[in-house]
Amino acid sequence: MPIHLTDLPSEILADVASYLDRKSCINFASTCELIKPIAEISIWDHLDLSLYRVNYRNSNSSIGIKRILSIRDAHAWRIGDDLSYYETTAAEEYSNLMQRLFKFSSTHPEKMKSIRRISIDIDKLLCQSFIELLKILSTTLKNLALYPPEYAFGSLSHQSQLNLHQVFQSLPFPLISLKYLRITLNENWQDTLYSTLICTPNLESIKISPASAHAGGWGRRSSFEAYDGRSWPILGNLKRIEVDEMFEQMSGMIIELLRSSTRIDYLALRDSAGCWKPTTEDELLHEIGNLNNLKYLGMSRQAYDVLVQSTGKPSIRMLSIEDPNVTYSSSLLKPHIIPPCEADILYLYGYSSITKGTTSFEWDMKNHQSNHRYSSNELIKQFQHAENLKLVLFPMDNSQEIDTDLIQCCYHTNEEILLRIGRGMIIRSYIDQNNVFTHIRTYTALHTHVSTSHAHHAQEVWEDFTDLNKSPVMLGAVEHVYKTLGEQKQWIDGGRDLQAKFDAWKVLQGE
Amino acid sequence: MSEKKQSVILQTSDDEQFTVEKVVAERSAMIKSMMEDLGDQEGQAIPLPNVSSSVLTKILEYCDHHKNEPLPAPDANDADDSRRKTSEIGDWDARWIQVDQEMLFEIILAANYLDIKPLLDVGCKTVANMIKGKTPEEIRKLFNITNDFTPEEEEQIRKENEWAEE
Repeated sequence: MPIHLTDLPSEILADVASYLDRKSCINFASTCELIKPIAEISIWDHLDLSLYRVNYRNSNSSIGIKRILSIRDAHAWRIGDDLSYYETTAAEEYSNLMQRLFKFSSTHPEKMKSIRRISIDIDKLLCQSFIELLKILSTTLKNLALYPPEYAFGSLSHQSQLNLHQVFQSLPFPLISLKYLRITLNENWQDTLYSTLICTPNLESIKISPASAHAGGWGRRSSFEAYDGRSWPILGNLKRIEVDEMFEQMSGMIIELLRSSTRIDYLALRDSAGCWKPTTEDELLHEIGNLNNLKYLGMSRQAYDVLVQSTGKPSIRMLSIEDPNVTYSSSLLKPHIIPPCEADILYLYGYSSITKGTTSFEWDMKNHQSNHRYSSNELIKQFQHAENLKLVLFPMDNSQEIDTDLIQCCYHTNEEILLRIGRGMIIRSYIDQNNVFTHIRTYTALHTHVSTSHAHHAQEVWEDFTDLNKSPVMLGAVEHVYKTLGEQKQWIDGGRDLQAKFDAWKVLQGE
Repeated sequence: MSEKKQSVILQTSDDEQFTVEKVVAERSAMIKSMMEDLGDQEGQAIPLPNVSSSVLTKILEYCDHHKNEPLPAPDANDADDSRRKTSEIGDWDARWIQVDQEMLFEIILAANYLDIKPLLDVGCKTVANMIKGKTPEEIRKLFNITNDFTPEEEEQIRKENEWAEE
């Protein structure tokens, strides 16, 4: 008697479904009654509740509901004359979107339960619904990333930043399954962080971003109140700590977190502005020196130098150094920039910021002025052949877009990719011919992306360096935009991006 | 005597006996634990009542090819489940599993029964790759599935899952 697909046990069919992209999975679910409930679990499993882009131009056609739209991209582009139009539209769409989402969550709690990751901008609009959602997910949610709204919506007065302190205080039970947390702090950071950590007892990884990191300037640092000496919740499972922008006031809290777990293997204290100036007596540095299981350490050049002075070279596998003195024009790829280190992999970290002098990468494209299209994979190949290149900057969120054959592995973590390729860089470039402005974005502080963009999400045209019309984009354009705009300081501060009204298309035509 | 210890006898559903290197047979977590239970009872055949000789022959090819690789950790699944799983299959495995549907499902069932996790993964990925990019009707046709939905029900499924659609 021949066996059919439907004769396979349901756990095997579920396994099959787990390898399907969502569209295929929906089609699979639509084939018959036996398969439907099995496949449907997978449709919603691992759903990344990131909100993806809204297409402003066609806001009456389906908002896309491309997954669930990117709220961060849904926010207004604060560009010149179009300001009010974009602000209002984006805010309304966002508000509609959130209402639909939360309505959906209340009518389909079983589907919401399979969500493992939420990545969302915190906004007052969400407050009550967000608490409800967290309640539903309290035993299943694994990954929670809370960003500040990219822009305050301005014209709509009821919209402002959500008070996380209140959200977490009003949670009746902890998020026991939560392992990864990314949180943005601003004023009142201690209360916020404290009430959050109390709710996340099993946390393995925390990333803390001071809101000032995203404010475009770095001017609001002083508004962080001094550490009041309180004790912090014990997080015994904690392995990774990352601070987007290190500031002095956090030292005491980080020391306590380091002491509360014996399993810390990853510590990154980013400090692009060089604000943290520890002395050889610094308590946090000594605590770092005492960490036994540390594998990855990231800090500023100056802090690292002091660390080596006071406690000796740490025994680690990967070291990430950021150096604010590295400017755009100097080649990061030259060995002298890379400090001597005994780690297996050095992960030199350049912060892309116009105000500080952008660090970017000189890629040897000068001989390729033609309209040759470079795919991201071709770029990697280039870097594999660049002998003195030892640096890796890798966009974690998009590592899955890299051709795995090229890397010759299936990887699980960012570090693993780094270990495999050893070096490489990804640049994103995406441009809309009809929108003559250029948007250069730095994503997380961990990874520097250079990208030119309209409100379209990078995934659209990421793979090859083409514009939305599929014409090739010269890589030199990005460089050119950086140079021109950087020097002319046409940048408008706001949100976490630096933007400028600029005729990107002209640049791309090869000026 | 020590030489004998390096192999094990497997008996299939159609009563064929296979003498197999231990390191090959150990790819199956089920056989491995059986061998541990049997201890030193040499010459004792391990019965595999759910596996036919043709399927076992095929599976032993796989086990032999992969015999020098580390066995997967019991909790290997826990690694990073926030990311969607990749459905890529190694070159050798992909060639090896180019078989008809009947054999493919037999292999999957046997891999499940014998508890050979990586092989089960290869099998499931292969089926998934066959499904990918196809319409419901094409999937039904491919796998000979009878449609028991009304068009309205099918539309309903689509609607309910709209939020998840890319």
